[in-house]
Amino acid sequence: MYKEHIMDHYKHPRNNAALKNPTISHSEKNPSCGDSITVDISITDNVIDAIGFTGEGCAISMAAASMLFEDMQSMSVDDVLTLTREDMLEMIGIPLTTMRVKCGMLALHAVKKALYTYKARQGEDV
Amino acid sequence: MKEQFPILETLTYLDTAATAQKPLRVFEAEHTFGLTRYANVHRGIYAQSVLATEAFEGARAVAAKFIGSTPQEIVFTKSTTEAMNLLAHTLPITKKSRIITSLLDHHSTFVPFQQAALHAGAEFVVLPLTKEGALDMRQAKKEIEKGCDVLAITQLSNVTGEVIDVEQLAKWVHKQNGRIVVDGAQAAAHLAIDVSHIDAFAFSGHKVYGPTGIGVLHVQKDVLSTLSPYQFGGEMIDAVTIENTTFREGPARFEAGTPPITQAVGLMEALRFVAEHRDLQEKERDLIAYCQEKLVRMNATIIGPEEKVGCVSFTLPVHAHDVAEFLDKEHIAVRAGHHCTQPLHDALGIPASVRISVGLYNTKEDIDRVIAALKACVEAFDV
Ligand SMILES: Cc1ncc(COP(=O)(O)O)c(C=O)c1O
Repeated sequence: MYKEHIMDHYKHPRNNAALKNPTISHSEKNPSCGDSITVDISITDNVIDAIGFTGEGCAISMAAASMLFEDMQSMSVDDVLTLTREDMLEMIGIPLTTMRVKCGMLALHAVKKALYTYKARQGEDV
Repeated sequence: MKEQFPILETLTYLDTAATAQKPLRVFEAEHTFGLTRYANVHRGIYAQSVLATEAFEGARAVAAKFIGSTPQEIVFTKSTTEAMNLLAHTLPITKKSRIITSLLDHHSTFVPFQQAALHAGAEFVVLPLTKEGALDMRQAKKEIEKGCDVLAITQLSNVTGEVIDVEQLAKWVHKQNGRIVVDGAQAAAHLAIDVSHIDAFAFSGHKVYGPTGIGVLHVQKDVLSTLSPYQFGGEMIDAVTIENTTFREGPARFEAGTPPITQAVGLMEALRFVAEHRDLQEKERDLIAYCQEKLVRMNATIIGPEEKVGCVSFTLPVHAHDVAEFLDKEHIAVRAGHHCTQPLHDALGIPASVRISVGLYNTKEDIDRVIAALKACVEAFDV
């Protein structure tokens, strides 16, 4: 039903494991459908060197997380923070109804929150 | 039947618990009224306003008869939700009160009474379920006997399809001099209702094949006369001076402003439609039983007890959202999510479920179609 790449990421999610000693960890839940995700990010010199997620949800939310995390490898914290809703939709690559956009955005939302918390901790302006 | 519902030619509609499709005769009744008899009610001296008032009050009488009430006890609201808010605001709830609801309850009942209890500092009790996911009547009796000022509960769960014995609950509540408030949003569409022993009962027009924007609230007259107004404005006043205002008696006190006039006429036609098709409610049950049997055979996990009316909710190894989207591609409409019962889904430990619900227009073919699509879905996801 969904395109191949969605099903592939859903069935074989990349980076789908918790990290041992993440620099930052953050959980988000979409109460309207019960999807949940925990993102672990390890950061050295503002560059993301390891990431992992665990969670439960529909194919869209889990595939979106997997795709985002694949792209995030070795991106800088600031580059990730510039990712927009449109970037995420483009990555997902299939049209989503309003209800499903929330599913598609869950991972990006969680990652951004984690990184803002990280930056606040670093004492930087955010 | 299906010729009354042209929309069903292209859509397999299995989401009647969310809202029912309307028969042509409801649109026609609203159309004719709007073109020939429409005016504001209870105001005009002119003949057209008298006609409109007659139609509006006629709808009140039909609504009363539909649930075994009287017109003096019927308040038109916007919806079940508004009715529950009205009751949660106007029933006396104090620091000493004990307010009871259940895990089965829809947010529209659960939240207004939870919030009223929080505001007043009252005790808020949520009745649990048995292992099978049925309302635990033994616990219910125990909790009510500890004291009960208000029991607010659904008569028919919009998730498990369980019918609650509100007559029995009413007896226990009345022994404690409490009030029983019944959410009839689903019950009104699937069961013959008799509110003789119920203090308050609410349902929505759009779930009984009528329009949105109108709901019916029955409040037993001795209770109604003790309630203060909920909203202020035109229609509900007796006399207004600069210093103060007095209010009308009876249902009018709770109908501030211009009411949903055309919707009342549509609702009246919808209730007649349901009353004329009581025999099909038996068929609805057979359809749900048939559907449940097929679901069990494909290893779906069914929520709640086996005896069901109106709907069946379940989980499959595929996430509920993905199931609903797959079915949508086949032009089949079902609901996926928590169906406005988060506390219930939390208690069951599931994030979301799929719900198939039926109306008077559904057929065995509709069930066969959804079951075939569900099988294809499980296969496509290869789980
Ligand atoms: C059991 C139950 N109660 C209450 C409601 C609320 O009805 P409405 O949204 O029309 O106020 C619904 C439907 O959503 C329902 O299924």
